[in-house]
Amino acid sequence: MVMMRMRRAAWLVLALALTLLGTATVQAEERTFFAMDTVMSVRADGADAALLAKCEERIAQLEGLLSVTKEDSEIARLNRDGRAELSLDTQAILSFALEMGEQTQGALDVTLYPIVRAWGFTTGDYRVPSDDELAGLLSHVDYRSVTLENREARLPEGFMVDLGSVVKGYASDQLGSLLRENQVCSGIIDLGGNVYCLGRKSDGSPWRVGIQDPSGEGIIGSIAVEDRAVVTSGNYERCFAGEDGTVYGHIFDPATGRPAESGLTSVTVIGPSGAECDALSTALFVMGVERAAEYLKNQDHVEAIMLDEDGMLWVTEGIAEDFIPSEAFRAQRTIQ
Amino acid sequence: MSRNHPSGRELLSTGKWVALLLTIFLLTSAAAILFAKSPSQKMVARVYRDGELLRVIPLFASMEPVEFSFGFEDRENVIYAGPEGVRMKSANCPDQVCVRQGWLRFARMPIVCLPHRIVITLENAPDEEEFDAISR
Repeated sequence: MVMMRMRRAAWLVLALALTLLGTATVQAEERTFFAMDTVMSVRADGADAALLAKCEERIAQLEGLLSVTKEDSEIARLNRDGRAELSLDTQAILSFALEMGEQTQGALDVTLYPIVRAWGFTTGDYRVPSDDELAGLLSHVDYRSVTLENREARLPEGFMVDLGSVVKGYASDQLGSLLRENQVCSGIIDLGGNVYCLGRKSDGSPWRVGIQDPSGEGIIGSIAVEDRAVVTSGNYERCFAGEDGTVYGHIFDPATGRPAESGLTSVTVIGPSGAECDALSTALFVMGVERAAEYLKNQDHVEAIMLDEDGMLWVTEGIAEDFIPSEAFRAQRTIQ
Repeated sequence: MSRNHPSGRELLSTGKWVALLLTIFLLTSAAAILFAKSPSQKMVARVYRDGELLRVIPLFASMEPVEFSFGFEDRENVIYAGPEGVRMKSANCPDQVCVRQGWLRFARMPIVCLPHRIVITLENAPDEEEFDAISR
């Protein structure tokens, strides 16, 4: 009897010890690199250096296809020639972006590029275009004018496409798939703050993602997530001060051709698709709280955290329990 | 002799089991300690240009404030390090995003000067484990 108990205890101790040893030896491989005009990192438990190198190669491949500033990219060719044969990646992401334009009633418009260029956000030569210039350029902005048939895209004269509002999200989805295909089920993909959380942490707990405070150095709060993308848009990252001291942000309202003035300073979208979260973080920012809340009512699979100019946080009901606001951001309203 | 009382041979075996249990526990504990991530060391900031490490700056409460200038072609970044922490003091980049970011507070939110491809990271910060990533 005593012997049996001892044997059982031995097996238990052995199992416990192996679990302890296993937990202690899971090491996360990490790779950091510059791409798509930002710093990216991929951290994955159980991945080797070769797999993370493949992740970087995949990003470089997507950048080569989708960059609006690389002269030989498919998007640059489309903008230059008005038509282009597209790879499956470019076709998929352009088709998705046009669909999001439709869903958001034009709050996301990938044909805004002539406007973005006029304001100097692609070159660093910032300036405030005149109303006449903007009116002229706006006649070349309408996502519904892009035609995509089979693998050929066409643009009317003077139109240009920029997929910058969805590229990083799409890329994070692609890296998530690549890691999963290689039996990696726990990791963090951080593409310049565009975050995708793969599975849970190796200790079984959810990932905790902070959200940057748009006006300072800290965070507005943090959320616990698993298998979710967390994407934030705000006008604080890329902006410039005009001669009159006005600060102009890089998120444009397709209706006016001017930086969006929706009353929001930051929008974070949480959902299973990085591309959708990326698209929506921009679109909801343009919409403002009321339109965004209305839109979100019909989107059960995505959640949002929005900060307005008065410091009020607007949090969708589905994420409210997993969101911990920082001390300075206790004023909060729930979007039902 | 009752059947519930172990014989001398069984007692000896019980002793062996106890020794085995202790050995397993001690060996695995030692291995776990050996393989586990080493405990936090001193806090440091690392400065990279295009992925190449330029400087490691140890940070501690009693340090004297110091500035480092990193120039490359016509690009210049000045980094301040002191008891308050690390920040990009100035840069002649067009967007000034790195300067506006202020103090480097989180390991997962490095200061990045994209136009000059300069990155400042923080290691072994007291709150390093607080967030797995920062969405921005």
